[in-house]
Amino acid sequence: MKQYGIRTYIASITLIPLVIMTVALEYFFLDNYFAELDQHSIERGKLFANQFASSSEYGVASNNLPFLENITRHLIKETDVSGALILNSRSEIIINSGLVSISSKKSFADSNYQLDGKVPVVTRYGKDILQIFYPIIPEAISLNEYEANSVPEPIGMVIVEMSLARTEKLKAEILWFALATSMGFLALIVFLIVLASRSITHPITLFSSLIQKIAKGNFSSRIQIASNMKELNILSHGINYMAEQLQDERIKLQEKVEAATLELRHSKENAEKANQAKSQFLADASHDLRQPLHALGLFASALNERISNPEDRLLVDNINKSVTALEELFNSLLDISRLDAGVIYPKHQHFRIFELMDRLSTDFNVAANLKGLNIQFKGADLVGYSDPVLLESILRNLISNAIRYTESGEVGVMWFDDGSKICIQVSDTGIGIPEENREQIFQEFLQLNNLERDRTKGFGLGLAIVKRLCQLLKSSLTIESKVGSGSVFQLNIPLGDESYINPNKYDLEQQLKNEPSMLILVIDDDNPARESMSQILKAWGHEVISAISLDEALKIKTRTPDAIIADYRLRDGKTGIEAASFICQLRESLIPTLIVTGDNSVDIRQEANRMGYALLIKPVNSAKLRAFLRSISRMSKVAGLS
Amino acid sequence: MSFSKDRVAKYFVLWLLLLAPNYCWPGNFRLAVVLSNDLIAYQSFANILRQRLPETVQTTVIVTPDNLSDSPPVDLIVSVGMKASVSAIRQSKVPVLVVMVPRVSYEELIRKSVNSNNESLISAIFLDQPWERQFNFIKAALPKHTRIGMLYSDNSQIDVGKIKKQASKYNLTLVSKNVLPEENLYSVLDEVLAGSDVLLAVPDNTIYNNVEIRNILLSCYRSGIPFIGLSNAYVNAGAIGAIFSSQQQLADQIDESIRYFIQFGKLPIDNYSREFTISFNPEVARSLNINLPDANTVRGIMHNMNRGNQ
Repeated sequence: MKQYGIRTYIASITLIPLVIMTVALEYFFLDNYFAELDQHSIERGKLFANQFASSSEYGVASNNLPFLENITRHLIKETDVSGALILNSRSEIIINSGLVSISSKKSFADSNYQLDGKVPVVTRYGKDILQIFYPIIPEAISLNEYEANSVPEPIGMVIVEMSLARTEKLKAEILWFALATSMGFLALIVFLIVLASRSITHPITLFSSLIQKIAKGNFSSRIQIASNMKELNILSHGINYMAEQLQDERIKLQEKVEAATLELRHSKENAEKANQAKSQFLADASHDLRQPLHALGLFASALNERISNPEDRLLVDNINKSVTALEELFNSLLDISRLDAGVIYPKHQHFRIFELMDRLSTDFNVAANLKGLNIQFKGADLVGYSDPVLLESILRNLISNAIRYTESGEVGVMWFDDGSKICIQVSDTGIGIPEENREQIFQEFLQLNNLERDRTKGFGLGLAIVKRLCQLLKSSLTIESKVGSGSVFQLNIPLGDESYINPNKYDLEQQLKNEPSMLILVIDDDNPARESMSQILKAWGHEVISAISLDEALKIKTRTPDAIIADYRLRDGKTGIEAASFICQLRESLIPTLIVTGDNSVDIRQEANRMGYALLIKPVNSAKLRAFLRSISRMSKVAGLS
Repeated sequence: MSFSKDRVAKYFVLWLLLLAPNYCWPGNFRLAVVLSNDLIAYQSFANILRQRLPETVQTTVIVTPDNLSDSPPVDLIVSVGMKASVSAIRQSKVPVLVVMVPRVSYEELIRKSVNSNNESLISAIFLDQPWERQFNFIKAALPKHTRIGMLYSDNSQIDVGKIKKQASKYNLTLVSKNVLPEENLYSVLDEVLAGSDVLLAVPDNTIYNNVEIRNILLSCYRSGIPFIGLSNAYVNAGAIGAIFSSQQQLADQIDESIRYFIQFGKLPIDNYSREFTISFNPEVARSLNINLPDANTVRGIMHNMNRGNQ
């Protein structure tokens, strides 16, 4: 619907009827007046002709030409009379003064007027000429009342020619005057309408502007109008009052918000401080607790290498098992505590599912085979979008659980694209989970079939971690299970985009192959840890050079090491990653590097991953360390062959 | 109020007639008043006349003069106007008193229609005034105007020579012109006016009619010549004055004639109306710068002049 402004609307409803009325009245009155003017001219002409005919009677009867010329001269002097003509009873022109239209007897005979007519005839020639034919009929005076009076016959005729030029000019002047007056009148009306509508629209525009200012939050604006209209004044008072109220409310609200914000800021600062303290505590605890555990594990491994007595070896094996159980429990507890503390933040990226699955396959094949289970990884080469480190942790827990609770049969890992997302399923042919326990399995330390608390069956923290990680990644986790037949865990992650994957990523895991006798640089500020690492590496036949810091490492003048094993947190404030990176740049060589850290934070993992360095969490499992060294050896071999 | 001797004599005769018993007609006298037409003027005149007649006169008014033979028998006919008179004289055997007819017209009628056998049964009271009276009137009213202009046509049948002679008796000069049919009236009029002091109308319908009178009067006025009319209508139209007999005056004289006829069995001889009326238009006189005496003065002067002439 077309919208109009108030001014246009008021102008339309006022002006249209007014214009119609003005034009109609003007037309009516002018038409009447012009008709009256025409009629007046005709009547005036008739009157002149009548008088002229009467005056001419004597002159025509007596053929007194001077007399007729005299009265004709007088007639011609009259306004608008342009000509006069007198004919006698024989239709002979006896006087013709200025009459050009009929100047001869013939033309008169041709005219539509006959002399025997006794009534005046008015003929119009063109626009400006009016001719009145008037018979000269003697005026009868009754002399003899005893005889019927005879009807006088015309003794001649006069023709009076009237010029209508003056009348037409007058008409034009009246028309223009009327038009000018009307236009002036309408202009005045328009002016008054504009004034009147302005007295409405101007305040409304001010109201609109004020309301817009208020809408934008400028509550201090006020409107000041001096209108004659009571309603507008009431409206302006109302709007000003509303603005005042809004301003007051806003001030109150701002005060409340500021107070709440201040409180929140304090709370946030406290929370941040607490979080920082917690993170610091966890990092410190992780580092400080792992350090001796790491050393203990390495020492136990070294001891195992040296002992040949079967009884001692059994003892060392038990020590190793206890250390491994302690490591696992410790890692799980630390993971739970980190997740609960909320210090782990997912870092989503695009990655290949296959690479992740390949690592898992490598890691779990041995464990599954040892248990006599068939483990299968099936799926297409898909790209997912998630935090690969956290996802790997979820899958490790699920696969580990599957192997743990499956005595025979197989464990399967499948991934596929269902059109909108990637579904990853971990299935087993294990004992299955009763429906009533499906919620409980995510509770900490809950193990359905481990009432005897056999530590070889884990600590019941895996699914608790899985649940927390799924929540963190916002991935749904579903369970399908049948008691005695097995279980299927499914989680979904978003589809990724291959174009975002860094093609130059150094895939260390692919290169993990065993190869002895390499020159390995160990950088660790903790002497026992450095020593234990050096010893076990030497025990494996490698040449080891060790340094407590980057500076010390730079002082060692040897050939370029084949690998670098560095603690993450070094004494001089540098990290192992920075140290390894610096050495690589210095040596202009891409040296395979393993970062060892007691800090299980995601940030460090991601940083190492970004640099293409392998990362092991203290206490380092000797098998993992060896697998790393094997992969380096194989990579070197491949490089040598190429 | 003064009474003239003529008036005293008239009333005396009337008184004798009223006293005298009607021996001639044992029954009611039957009178037919024949009007030339049914114009109001004629009917008015008939009424005026009837009011004057004695009750013994049984009066019948006839407005269709063409069928007089069908009318019941009467003892006397009073024919009013020319048409009635022609019919009465030609159709009737009874005596006829002709009234409202100018003398020349009556004489023409008698000459054409009446034989010697019945001439004695016909008498008239003329409508017009005798020339002597008119000249007297001019002399009394306009003593300085001695040249009398007169227009006439063949239709007027006047004896110009005779009139001139009569005028000369009053020391008046008659300037007359006969307007021939082919002549322009106003040209002739201008000629007459050029040699006249006053224009005297004559009973001539060809010249003095309702159409021409206005322009004749205008011509006179433009020439500064007073115009003497034939009746009060002329005075009203613009004539300076007129001398004429009114209906009442004529009716009185007709009444006398009827009584005379009843009394003596014959009609009086033809005569002009004994009584007359003088009428003036003072405005015209003023316009023409003429000092006009009033009607009674003129009448007195005329009376004195008559006595002098006698």
